[in-house]
Amino acid sequence: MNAETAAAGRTNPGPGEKGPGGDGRGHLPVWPPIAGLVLTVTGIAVAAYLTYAHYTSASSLACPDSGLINCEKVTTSSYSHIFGVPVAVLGLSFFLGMLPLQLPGAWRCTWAPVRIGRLGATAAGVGLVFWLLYAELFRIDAVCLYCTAVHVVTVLLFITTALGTVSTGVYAEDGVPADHA
Amino acid sequence: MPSQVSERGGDGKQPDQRQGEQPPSNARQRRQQRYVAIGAVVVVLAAVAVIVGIKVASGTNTGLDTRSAISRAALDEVFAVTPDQMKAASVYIPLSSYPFRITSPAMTSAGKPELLYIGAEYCPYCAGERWAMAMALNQFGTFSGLRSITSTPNDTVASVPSFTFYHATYSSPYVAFRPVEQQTVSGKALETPSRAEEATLRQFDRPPYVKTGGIPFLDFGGKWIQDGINYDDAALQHQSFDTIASQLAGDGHGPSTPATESIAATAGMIISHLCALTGGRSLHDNAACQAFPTVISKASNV
Repeated sequence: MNAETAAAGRTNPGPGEKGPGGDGRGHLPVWPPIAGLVLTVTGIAVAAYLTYAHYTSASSLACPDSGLINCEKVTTSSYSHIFGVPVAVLGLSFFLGMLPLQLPGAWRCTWAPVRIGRLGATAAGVGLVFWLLYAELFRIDAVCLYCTAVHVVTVLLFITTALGTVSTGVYAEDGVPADHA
Repeated sequence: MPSQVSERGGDGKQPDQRQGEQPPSNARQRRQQRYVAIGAVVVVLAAVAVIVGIKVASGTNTGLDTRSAISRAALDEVFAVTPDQMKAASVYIPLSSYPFRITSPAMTSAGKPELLYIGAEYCPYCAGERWAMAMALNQFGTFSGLRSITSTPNDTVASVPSFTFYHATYSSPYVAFRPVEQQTVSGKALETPSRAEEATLRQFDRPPYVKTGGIPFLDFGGKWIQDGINYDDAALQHQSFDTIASQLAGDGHGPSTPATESIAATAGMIISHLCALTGGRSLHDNAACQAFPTVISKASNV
């Protein structure tokens, strides 16, 4: 670790170092994988419940059905599918795909496609959340509590991933991952 | 200063650096990345706040102008009516009016013949016609964003549930569809026809082309125009959208009430005109156009 990063108390490797890990030269911040995994597992649980309800009966959702809160109205609307794929299934697939990317090993990985892919996927998830939020509030005129839970988890996952990606930055000055420098 | 340059190169040189200036470092790069990340987070949270804020400020739409999402089940029931079932209905259900042949330049959009609809969400006859239009157009392309609306309770025919074409999109390889919903149920201005469309309306939405003029007004590619609804939709009053959808499907046997048979017959009549415009081409191996090989019309409905 170079003197500058050591003085700053940071954990990232300098050029020529192997990167954060158990090599005694740096430590992976603990919070990104923990926060990521907690949020991802929460997302899987809620999305799995929505998927189950989709393929059984939407009325099985334990959710009020009057006024603005109406899960059934949302989950049976024409906005509940995107390109023919149920949104619940899309959500479940998203979180299942995110699971390996949030493992400590994946956070330790310095390979750019993993880091950019994880960040890009959560950003895409937030984009979909914006569309679904718009559809709920302005097109369907109803809000599904479980969908909202998934939306919140997705936004939080983006936030933790974005901040985690920065705090585990492993790139050398010339932009080459430290492992490959 | 223990620069990274000396760590990397070990030659003591500091290329591209002037004396006393901070060299580009991981710290600076990291700081910039942190600002970008925090900025992205702030933007996301602000966007969510704006969307929710607009909704809160506008209030919940619970009045006459409420457009509701349609369940997939109901939509599937409406679009489950087959061209053959429409043909069967059109054989023995006489319609009260038919499109009128006009001499006018072909009306096209992106090289496809265009169906122009001018109506309004308050209008009960537009509501009745929209059922048939949606069913007919579904044989040539795909709708997305269709919602339901109920016509005004303050008319002779009151509270007819139907689709609204407002903010719905339609894509088809064969025809273009241009809907104009001029007003909401409560009478607020909604959409405005283009100048060319207003000119068409002024020219053809009056005798001798039509009985009195008014809406709904349809222009089939500049070849036929129609004013008003083709059947009596009074039986649709005060029903729910889902009930009518269910009656259209009739448990897979097709329309099960006189009113829904009339909707199917009207859809067939519209299909026959669209097929004349598309040269007999429609989705599903031209199934709709094979069921309606000739235009169903009268010489004049005046």
